Amino acid sequence: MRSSFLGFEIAKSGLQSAQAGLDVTGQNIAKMNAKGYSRQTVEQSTDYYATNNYKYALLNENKIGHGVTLDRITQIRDQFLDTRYREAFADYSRYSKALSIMTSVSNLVDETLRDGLGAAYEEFIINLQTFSMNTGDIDYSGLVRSSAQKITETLSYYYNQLEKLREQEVDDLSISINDINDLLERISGLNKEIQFEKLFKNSPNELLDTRNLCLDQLAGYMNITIEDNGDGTINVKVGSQYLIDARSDTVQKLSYEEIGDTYAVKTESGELEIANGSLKASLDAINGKGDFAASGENDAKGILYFQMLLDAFALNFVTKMNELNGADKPLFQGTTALTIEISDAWLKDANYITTTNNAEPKDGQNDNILRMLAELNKDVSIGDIFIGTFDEFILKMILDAGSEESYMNDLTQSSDAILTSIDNQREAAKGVSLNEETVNILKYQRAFEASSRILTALDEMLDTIINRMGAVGR
Amino acid sequence: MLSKNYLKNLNYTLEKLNNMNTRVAAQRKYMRFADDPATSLKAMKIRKQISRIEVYKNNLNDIQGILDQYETSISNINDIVKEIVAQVMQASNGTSGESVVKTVAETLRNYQKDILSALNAKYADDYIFGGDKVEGPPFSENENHELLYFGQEVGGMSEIPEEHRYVDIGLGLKDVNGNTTPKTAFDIAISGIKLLTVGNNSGNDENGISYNLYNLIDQIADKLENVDTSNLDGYINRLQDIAENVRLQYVSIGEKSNYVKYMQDRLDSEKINAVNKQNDLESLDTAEGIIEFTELEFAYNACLAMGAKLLQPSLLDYLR
Repeated sequence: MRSSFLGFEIAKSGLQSAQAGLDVTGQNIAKMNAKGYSRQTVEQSTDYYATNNYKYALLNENKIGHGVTLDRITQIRDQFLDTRYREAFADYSRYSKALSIMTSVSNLVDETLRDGLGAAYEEFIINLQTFSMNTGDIDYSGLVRSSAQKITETLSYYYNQLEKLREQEVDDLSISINDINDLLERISGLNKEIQFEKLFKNSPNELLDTRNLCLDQLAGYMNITIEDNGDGTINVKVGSQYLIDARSDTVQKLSYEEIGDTYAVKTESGELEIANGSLKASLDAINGKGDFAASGENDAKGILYFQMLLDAFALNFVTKMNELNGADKPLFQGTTALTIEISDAWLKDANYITTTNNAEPKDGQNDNILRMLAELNKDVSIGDIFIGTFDEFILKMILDAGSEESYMNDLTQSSDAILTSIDNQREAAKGVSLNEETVNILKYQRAFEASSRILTALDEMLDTIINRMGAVGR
Repeated sequence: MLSKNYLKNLNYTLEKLNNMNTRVAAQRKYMRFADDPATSLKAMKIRKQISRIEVYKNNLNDIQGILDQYETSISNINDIVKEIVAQVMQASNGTSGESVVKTVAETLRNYQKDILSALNAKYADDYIFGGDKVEGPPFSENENHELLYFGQEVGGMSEIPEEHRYVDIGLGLKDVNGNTTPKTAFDIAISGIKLLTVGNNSGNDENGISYNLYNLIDQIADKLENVDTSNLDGYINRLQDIAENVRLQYVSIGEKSNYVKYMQDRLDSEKINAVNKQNDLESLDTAEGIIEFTELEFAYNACLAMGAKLLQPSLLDYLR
């Protein structure tokens, strides 16, 4: 025999599920533009007929379901796409960061629209040429000296600008590391909350969204891998090191350290193996020694590399010119881009430059100037990484910066395209579609109306039994 | 998702439009080295080439000026030498009287002074006959009216000093142990001693006749002052040899001048080529640029128009 109010219960569960569906739809629409929000759905299942009360047991063939049960409200999220998104985001962050740094470097050395080291060097050669026809004339030797001074000043200007850029990047590194440490703290905190909510069978959807958002951000900084512990908590690894180990509830804080002329990012357990993300770009810029790198050193063409190029140029140029001017008659002093300057003796007397090797120099004799011009046209080995003339070396520096920037630009664009495509795929799954939600409003609204109608029908049935039955002739 | 992608595309188109605008305004194919490293590298090399051509052209202009000055001075000396030969011939023919011979002697002394001033000619404050030196004056005479070169008696030199003053004119300047390789540069040193001397010796021959014009004139003048017209033939022969030498030098200056002109012409055409190449590499063809700009502008406008239709509608707009 069927219990009297069975239908009421079924209809009630229908009302409840429609109500819940409408609520979730409302929630989805409300948070449609919220960052990191994943679309939620109501999971429902059939409530089976089951009773141990034989009094009200239905006959076998008449068993019907008991309506619907609201299991839980879940979010639509694809783990695989998350992983892919984070990898792509790390790529994109790395290349776009490297691009912005290389743009600054190449802006400094670029001579397409204005003059720089190359122009200063060319001016020096031109003045030396003019001087070769006017040796002994203090006006012309003065010109040679002032253009030589321009070279030294440009070198130290370049070096200083690069140094500033490098300091900014170190600052930026420390800001990034603070941000990363904050994120790690938040993720670890969220881990605990999610675990707690799960323990009480509550749905931690919003907490999961926040944690995913933090993980997305973290992925922009470096190459993270994520391990799921199954209890709602996750571990975060970089290389072989755990930054967050939820099993032992430990968080490893990042810090950076200056070792010699390079910087390293490390935790208490040792140096981190950072292979991607904006931290990698920062470290490459700060530590990259390019062609100068010994084995084991960072061989990216970073700011350090360009500083070393300038130093190599300064050292070789000074050595060559001093040697050409004769023993113990240095034209320049200093050995690095930063310290190189016109020697005191040359500064005092513009004619200190040796024009001839004759024992009794006379105006007009120019054999040594011609020798300088010929020697400056010759290939020299500069810093063990380049064989060519000095102006070719300057061109190499411009080319290195320009082609590195251009390369980074290409990589940024292609990684951006990949990121966009993955982001679109992810959004298609987890994002809120207004069309779909509008259909849901109609669907749940109609379901609510229909369940109410069932209640009314049942009510009328009972009304018939209670109020009208057995009332014949009354 | 739609709006995010739309915004991205819109920004991309706008950025391209902006880039194109800058390039059309600047008439350049690229604004920064990184925009096109390969072309930029070529353009930088051409830029250097043009700068060097300019240097060599300047050097050649200076050389031309000096050569012109040489030409004038040597032409002067040539005229003087011709005059001297004529005068001495006249004095030696035995029919001239004592006073005439003495007048010739005096004239010769004056010519000596003229030669001296021609030898001390200057181009823009530089003495030009001092070999590799421009200080001066390089020539003077001693109390015996004998020629001095930087204070040193020319008659006493065992051999004429080799002097060079090279100028780089783009022949691929080379240097070995501090000595310029001769064929890789232009030598503008002209030795005044060489001009006035035959053979390698500037002293006297076994008959006591000087190989050097200036001292030779002095010797002839000495003889004529003493009205000694005997044995003048040897002197006259030497005089004629030297006259021949001066003429040869005059011709060789002309040849050098021609070479310099040829080099100037060559550099001019090299420069035209290089500038054309630079334009090809760097300059944006205006018509091409504007067409491209218009295409981008069209794309941007289309993008904007599409946005108005794309961003608005959803099912919500069609429900009552």
